Amino acid sequence: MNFATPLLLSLKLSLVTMILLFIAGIPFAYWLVFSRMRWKFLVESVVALPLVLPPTVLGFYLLMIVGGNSFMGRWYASAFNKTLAFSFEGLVLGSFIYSLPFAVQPFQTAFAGVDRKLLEASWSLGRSHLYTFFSVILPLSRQGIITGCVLSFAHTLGEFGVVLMIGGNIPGITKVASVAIYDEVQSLNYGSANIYSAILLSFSFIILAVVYFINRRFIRTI
Amino acid sequence: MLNISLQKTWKEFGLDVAFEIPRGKVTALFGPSGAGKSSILRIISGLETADGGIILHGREVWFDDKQKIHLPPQQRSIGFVFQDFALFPHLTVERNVAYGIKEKRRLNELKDLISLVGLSGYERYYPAQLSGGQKQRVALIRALARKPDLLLLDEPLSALDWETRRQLQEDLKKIIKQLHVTTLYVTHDVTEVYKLADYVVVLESGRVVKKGTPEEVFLGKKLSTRIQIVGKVVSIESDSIMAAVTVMHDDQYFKTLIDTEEVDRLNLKVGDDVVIGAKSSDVILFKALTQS
Repeated sequence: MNFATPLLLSLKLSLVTMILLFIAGIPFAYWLVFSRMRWKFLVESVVALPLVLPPTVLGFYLLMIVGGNSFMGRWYASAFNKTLAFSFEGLVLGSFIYSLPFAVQPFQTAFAGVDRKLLEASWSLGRSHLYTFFSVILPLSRQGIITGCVLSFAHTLGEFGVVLMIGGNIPGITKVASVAIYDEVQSLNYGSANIYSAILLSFSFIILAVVYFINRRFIRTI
Repeated sequence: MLNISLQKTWKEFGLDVAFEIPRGKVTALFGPSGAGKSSILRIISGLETADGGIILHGREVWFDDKQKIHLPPQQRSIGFVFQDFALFPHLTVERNVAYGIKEKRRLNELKDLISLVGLSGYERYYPAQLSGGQKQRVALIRALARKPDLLLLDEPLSALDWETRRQLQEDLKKIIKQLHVTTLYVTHDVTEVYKLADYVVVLESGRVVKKGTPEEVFLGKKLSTRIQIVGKVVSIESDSIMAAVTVMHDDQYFKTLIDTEEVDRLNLKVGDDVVIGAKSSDVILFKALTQS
């Protein structure tokens, strides 16, 4: 197995997860901010669960849900002719749920921070809620959206428990960098573990530095 | 012409009003803060819903609780000017004004609108680069750009300093008259009512207490927070802007300062009987020393 494979797999997983969270997270966050549903707080609590749960708990239940004996697992197997557990798609599903709060919460904060008067101004000028969303809310939430995307990317890059539970340790398919480190340490290959760790460490640092830099720039321009 | 009748109850406040907004005229909705003026404006615009009542715009029903009709703000032909301007901070002056224009071909009217309020050359400025008065001018033409049937102004000048406010009163008057748009103007400032309104609806704690022209409504009004003195004009000293009018009441003289324009309008002469009315919200009282 190529040394770089786990790293590339980690990057691919993070990228795919980030894109999916961007697509799904934005309408979801919009709903969370603007819905008047009474039971909204329950949904918000579920979204925030990955922040407090041990990743193994989340991974365990996901495995139960998507495993070969479950309803969803059997449906997926018959539809796509492969299992969802121990596959890259399974990893994406796990990462999506695990990183959900890291994307949705910054989106939500940003949307809620847009002055309501501006939305009312837009409606009173004859513009629909959809037009208002794209012309007012989204541009004014740019910073929160970038933060949410970058954080979900970085968080997926660093996940371990969920990935190991749902994906296992299949080289080239589910063995991401964080799992590879664990693997190398188990086989007493401290040298390669060190290299993987150093790369992940510097990568995470760079990403966070970029987020803080962007936030600083936005604050200055406003 | 708009016919309005509204009822709404909040926890500690109730609104129950009925009045008309004449077409092509400026109607002032006047009253102290907390009287429900802004709520009425928001209900007419559709940003809020009343519990009951009816809003008719000609034959168009904007709101009717019995027929369960409630048009959203997008479907009412309104222009709303907010107290704190509510300009889109990420859009230039030009794009703010163009925001409500849906027909592409009407975009070339932008230049005229912007020059109407004296902001030519500011097209590419962002709201943060403008003064308060300029921001409110942008907000005004943004609301007017879609040619609304009804212009709603929610204390549009109260966030501005005195000098800017006076200048904008004149501009507002000019623009509204020029475009001949039906206007509902919320204010708690009597001079604004006099300067701008053709018709005034006076509101107190959620009820209409008076309506009519500003003269009908304010002259002879006996509110406890006003001073009214009847007397005879004994001297008028005026220049082109202001006039000092001295009025004698019993054995006492009262010297007041008013606009020369006003003196001319009333055709005021020495010897006329007049009523001095003043708000007495900020007065000092001394107890007179009695000689024993």
